[in-house]
Amino acid sequence: MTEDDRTAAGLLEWAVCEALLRLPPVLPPNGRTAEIPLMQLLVKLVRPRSYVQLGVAEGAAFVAACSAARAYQTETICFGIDDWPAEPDALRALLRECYPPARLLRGGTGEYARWFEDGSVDFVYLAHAAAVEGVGALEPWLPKLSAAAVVAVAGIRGGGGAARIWDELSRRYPTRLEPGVAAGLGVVIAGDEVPPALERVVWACLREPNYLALVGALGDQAAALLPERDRARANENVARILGELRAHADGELARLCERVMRSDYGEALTIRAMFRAFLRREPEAVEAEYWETLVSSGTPLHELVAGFDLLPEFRAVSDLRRLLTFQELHRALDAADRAAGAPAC
Amino acid sequence: MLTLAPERAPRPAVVAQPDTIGFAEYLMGAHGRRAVVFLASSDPPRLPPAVAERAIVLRAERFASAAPPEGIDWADAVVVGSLESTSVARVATLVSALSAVAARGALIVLTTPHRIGSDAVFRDSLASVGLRPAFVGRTLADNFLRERSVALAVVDAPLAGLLAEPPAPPARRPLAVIATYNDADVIAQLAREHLASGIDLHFVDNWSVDGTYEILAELACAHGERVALERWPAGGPVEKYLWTELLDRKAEIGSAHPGRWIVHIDSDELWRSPWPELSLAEAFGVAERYGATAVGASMFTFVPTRDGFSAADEPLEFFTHFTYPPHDSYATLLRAWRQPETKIDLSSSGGHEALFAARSVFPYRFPLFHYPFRSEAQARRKLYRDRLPRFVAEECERGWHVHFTELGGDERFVSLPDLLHRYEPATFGSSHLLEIISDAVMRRRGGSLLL
Repeated sequence: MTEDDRTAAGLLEWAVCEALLRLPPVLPPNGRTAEIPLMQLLVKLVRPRSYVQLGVAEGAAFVAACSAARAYQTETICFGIDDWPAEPDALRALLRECYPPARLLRGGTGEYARWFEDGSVDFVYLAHAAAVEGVGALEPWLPKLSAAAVVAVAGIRGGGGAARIWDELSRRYPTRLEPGVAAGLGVVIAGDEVPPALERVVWACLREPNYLALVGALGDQAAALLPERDRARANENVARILGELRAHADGELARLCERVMRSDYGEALTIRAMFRAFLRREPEAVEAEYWETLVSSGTPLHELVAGFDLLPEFRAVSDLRRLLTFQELHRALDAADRAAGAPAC
Repeated sequence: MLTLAPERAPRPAVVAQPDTIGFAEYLMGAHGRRAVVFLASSDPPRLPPAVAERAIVLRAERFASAAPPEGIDWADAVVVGSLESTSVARVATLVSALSAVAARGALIVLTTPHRIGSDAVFRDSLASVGLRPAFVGRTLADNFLRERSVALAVVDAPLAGLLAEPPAPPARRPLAVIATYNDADVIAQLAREHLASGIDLHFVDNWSVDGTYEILAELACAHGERVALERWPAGGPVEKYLWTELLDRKAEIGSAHPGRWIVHIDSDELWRSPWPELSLAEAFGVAERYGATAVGASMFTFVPTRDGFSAADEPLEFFTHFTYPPHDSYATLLRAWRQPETKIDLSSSGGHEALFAARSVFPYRFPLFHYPFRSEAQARRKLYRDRLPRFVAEECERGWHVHFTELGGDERFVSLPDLLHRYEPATFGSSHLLEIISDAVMRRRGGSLLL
């Protein structure tokens, strides 16, 4: 082995390890995560111009592929197809933030295949074979594969559709990898123009079983680490979001109060209008009673404001509801304004 | 399983010439034009909402066969057309109609999917029928296989007129103001490139300890008044990397040269002309005669694919692969300006943008080659000794230096070539035309390849 060969081997090794150890910055909750390191490695080495994932479910693997495309600047366009029972709006919102060149397509994977041209797709990942169309799911996509294509299939050790698809793929494309990831993840090189780095990794894996074992172990590590990380982060997020909501709610309340103070048509009337509207939206009888008492008692405004603090639930999960309620209050004030002949704010 | 309802059916995923529409939108913004006219030969183009609301779609055949439609202010429009017909007569008719609207002030983006032997053939063909392009290059044929095979021309008649004149730099040579700190391996080569491009140099050395100052002193001796050199801060070395103050010093140096083009360049950067036949100074001359007082740049970051770069190597030869900017903060790099009477503001933007009143930005960007990490040893020194420990905390909190602070500490700086874009000197200007002169890279990152 020459010095150049050793350098190239070292660079490749580093490139592989870096991808396997990288964790995607964000993931949707409750997703499968064991295949993520390998998917990141494949995106890094294949540098696919297009990536199609058949079966997306919660989207962990899809978001991971998109994150890798972003991190490695591959300019990949990503399509995720699944027959979700409802539009995957939350996943779409996440992708808009983390990887705009991605589209989620809701429907049957076979039907969408016709929208792609033959020979155009670099990377197809059949991630949830059982959830899509079983053994026939890949068939419409085979003509779509480009000269540089790879195909990955999840769940090949679980029997059923995925295993049968894998058998079929293995017959067609002899160059393949089966790292021990979760329920099995198989990868075949379908094109004859795949990047040299990928070819080198595949051959290294075929020669050295420990290479494959490493991929599997790092998959297990990701599966253990990512849910922990996301749980911790979710807790932080909840605290942050509640903090923001609270600040927003306080701001809204201050604005309402200021508006009431500016009114020249009878403070009590306006306050009653505000809180009648408020009470209509408030399901808790005890709160209703509290506010009814407070309002009918003619409590001064500053005390009413302070009253918000007396209800601990207002300081936590009902903050969001308060915001909605404030919109109602504004509307009630507008009505009061109109009734009093004052210009609406 | 759900069946695909017709109203939910997606449009075909393949998009022809996906960068063209984004480029038209870029031109509208850069030229301050309010309308975009698409000449459609078959189906109307898919347009993002922001473009669609200002778009006029005309049938190409009809446009070619009649007088230009009235009611369109052509001087306020960008026209996008494609020479798709294989009939010479039809192409000639369309080009003739385009010439008519170009004469009325239209800015035209014209493509042809047909195999054209060279850019020169396309340029000459268009010029022979009165459409003189300011730029000719290649763009992506589609969003999937992305062959850079579609010839694209930008017809900007006033600019083409200037380019047809004998090349001339501005009355006073542009001045690059370059801050240095331990750049001994690369500074002389980049300085020589800039000098050869007609740019004078003013170095602000931050008390380098690796011989950079001595190299610059030799350069200053050899090139007389074309190279100025100072050590900064004047009081002696400081512990921190005072980027805000350095930027202010650069702006101050510029303020001593009213009317002259000043270019804020980092010590590891090389500005280039967007026209291969013109030097960088001549390119600034074109921008000035076009009426611009500022020029932006598109950055291409070169990455070593082998170790061992040294002062004996030429960056343009040694580095053969590049990446696009790693971070969205590079979307705007407006670092060249024609010095007004007063000092400009360079530090508010962290050095990304020269801010001053009555700024008129040249609508086409210049290429900027960036060589931040050149070998493993240099990269580690720069990152872990010269930069990270010296950054000012407040600047990091403002999001500056993020391209350094985001690195994890276990990087390899030499990369596999497979993971990068290959730089082909002879064809780069053509093959990456839109990536150079516009914001195509950032648009793709924002999803423009999926219309």
